[in-house]
Amino acid sequence: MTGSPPVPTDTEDTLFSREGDIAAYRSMLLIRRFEEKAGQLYALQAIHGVCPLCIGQEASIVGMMMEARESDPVITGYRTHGALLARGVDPRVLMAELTGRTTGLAHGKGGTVRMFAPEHQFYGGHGKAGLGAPLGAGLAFAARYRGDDAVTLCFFGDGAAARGRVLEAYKLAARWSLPIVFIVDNNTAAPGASIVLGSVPSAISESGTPFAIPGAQVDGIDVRRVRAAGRRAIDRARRGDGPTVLEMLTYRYRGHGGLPARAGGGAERRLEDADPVFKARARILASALLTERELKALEKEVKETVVAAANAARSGPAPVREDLLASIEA
Amino acid sequence: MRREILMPPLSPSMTDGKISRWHVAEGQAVAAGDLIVEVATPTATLEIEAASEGHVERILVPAGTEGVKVNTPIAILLGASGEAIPQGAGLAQPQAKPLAFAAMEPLQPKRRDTPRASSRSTGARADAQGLSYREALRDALAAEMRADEAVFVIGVDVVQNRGAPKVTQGLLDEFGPARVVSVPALDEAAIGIAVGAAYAGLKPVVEVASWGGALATLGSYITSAAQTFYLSGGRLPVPIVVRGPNGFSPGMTGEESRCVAAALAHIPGLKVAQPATASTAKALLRAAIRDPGPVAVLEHEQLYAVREPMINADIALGAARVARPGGDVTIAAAGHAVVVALEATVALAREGIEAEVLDLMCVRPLDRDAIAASVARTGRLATVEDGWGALGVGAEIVASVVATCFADLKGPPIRISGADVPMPYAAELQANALPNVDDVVRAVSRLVRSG
Repeated sequence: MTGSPPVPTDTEDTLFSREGDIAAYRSMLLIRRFEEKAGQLYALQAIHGVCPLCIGQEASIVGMMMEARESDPVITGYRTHGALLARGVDPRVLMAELTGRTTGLAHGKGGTVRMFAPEHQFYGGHGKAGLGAPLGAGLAFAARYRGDDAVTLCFFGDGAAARGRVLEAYKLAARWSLPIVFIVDNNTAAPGASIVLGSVPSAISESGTPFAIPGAQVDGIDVRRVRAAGRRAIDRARRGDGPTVLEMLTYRYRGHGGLPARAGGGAERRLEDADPVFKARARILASALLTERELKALEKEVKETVVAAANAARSGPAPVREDLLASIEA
Repeated sequence: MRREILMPPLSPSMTDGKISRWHVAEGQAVAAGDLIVEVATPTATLEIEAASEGHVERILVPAGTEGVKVNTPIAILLGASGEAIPQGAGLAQPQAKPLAFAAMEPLQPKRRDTPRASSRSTGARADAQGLSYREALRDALAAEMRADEAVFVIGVDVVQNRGAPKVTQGLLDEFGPARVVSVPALDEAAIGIAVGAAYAGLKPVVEVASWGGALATLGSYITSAAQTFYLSGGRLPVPIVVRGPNGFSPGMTGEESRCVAAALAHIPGLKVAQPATASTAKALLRAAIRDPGPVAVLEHEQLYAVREPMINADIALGAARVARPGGDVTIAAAGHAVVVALEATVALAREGIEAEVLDLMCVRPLDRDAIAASVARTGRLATVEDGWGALGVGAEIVASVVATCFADLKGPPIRISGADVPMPYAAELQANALPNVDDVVRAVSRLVRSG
């Protein structure tokens, strides 16, 4: 849409409460530490297959989740961990799923991609790029059908944004003014992509324009701006005015599993340059919401939570042959 | 020579149409190639030419008349002196009926229905009069929609009902557009929305115009809907029904005439029902909608109009039934192939062979017990399916019987199936691409006589 770096487009972020800043930091830090630990376990081959991490994209997830209600359905692509943690799913259950234990969310059947927690209004977990868009529109359809005011949050990546099924979903979501927000994490790391934050034009935020769906580019490094943009989009959907496309300009620092996100060195950035977790921490210190000592205590607690989850996940019971044929049909 | 000109069908599913105008008057001479009449349906208009020379003696149906039934005489043509006008002269020939299809007249006298304006009337009608397959499906839908507000139908044609099924006709009047949901195209998003709605606990019933044609867009159904309950560790059931005509449709080629029974039955997590009669269609669709998981209901274009007295009984998905008892051979089939098998039993009986026809009703779950029990009675097995034989439904049945009741077999089981090619176009080729009554009679007769 534009070649210039995203600029603040709102003032609501000044309304972010003290508790909000701290809660956002804690939630993003939990995701960060969880993903780092998952990356370690992947390198140790305690997790196999793929393990898509969201390091660098925490603000986009947490900002949106903070603005949504717990009754608002959430659906994602294959990058599931952050949204599940932000929804309050127990990190031990998530990590145990990644290590394929019976104590895992899907008892070791689903792995990283196929995680479903309907009791938290979390509906997966979809491996095919962009598949969450039509399924998410179905969740929104169900809310409309029942006459409740739930708004669906539908996350996918920039690589999925141009898939036909996504554009088809835009068409029907617009036709029926479905209560849904499409959140496109432009993490600049899609296969073949070369978009670097703020340096290359991107029109993903305008991809709903042919269907009269409004869109916006959002600074996905700043959880306050994410939440402010999320508020406008979610309010609009809850009013019955239909979907919005939010393009989150983020920067993912880790590849799928242990691989680096990018092959070339030119686009590499350092966490300190544009990192949602560092940014939130710096803001807390600068605003004197917490002292360095209080922050360290919070960080220690988060780290211990993740370490405990990893230990439990590695020592949990592995499924046995009899588990293979359980719950085949509803 | 005098000949009646009959109202022509413009499409295989057309039941009636409008005479929009006559290009000729009574007494007028016509030459071969002259336009004589214009016929219209809501979707098509066609001008019909004279095939040979003659005089228009009488026009029986005036221009502007609507609802003229197919094959009603609309005019009388007098041939040129001394010249016999061939049957049907003056009109585009009705769609050539492939042999397999022509041989498929119902066993019992059955009336062809006309689609009704409202489903409510069908529900109220005494079942003794019988229902067509399409009316039975419609009754099942309406009953489940009345019983459960989570049930809704979604598809391209569910409001206008221009295609062959016309199963949802009248539902809009009773249930309104919120529950009879029209989509502009059955694309990936429309299927995905239905699957997503089922994630959220609704019970969508998706209508496809053709199962084979819809395969390209059914990705989320055959992956997410089928797999999610298992892969979520039993957390998320997906109660979705997809239904519509499956298999052969006259003149349609490739995937649009393809039987998908074996392809779908191969997938764990799906149930696949394939009703052959109105009674079982009703019961199976009701069971499908009530099922907590995804169920495919494979209907058949040539069965929609077939009417029969209703037997109202619940059917569990995965139960087969004996459609005709017999002691010499078991013929296992589902859907339209049951009709072919039943008709074959008439000719077989004339040869002194009493064949038992087992209507599988569901190809997944497959009622292996019922198949084994029947083979234990008869000692012989033949399977009939419209789909491809290699790695097909019959292959699975044969493998099951060989594994569980080999000792009961008096001879090698046989499979009678569709030709191993994509459905071609020409009527003669189509007729040879599907198992017909003669094929079944010949093969079963050989099986029984060989041992």
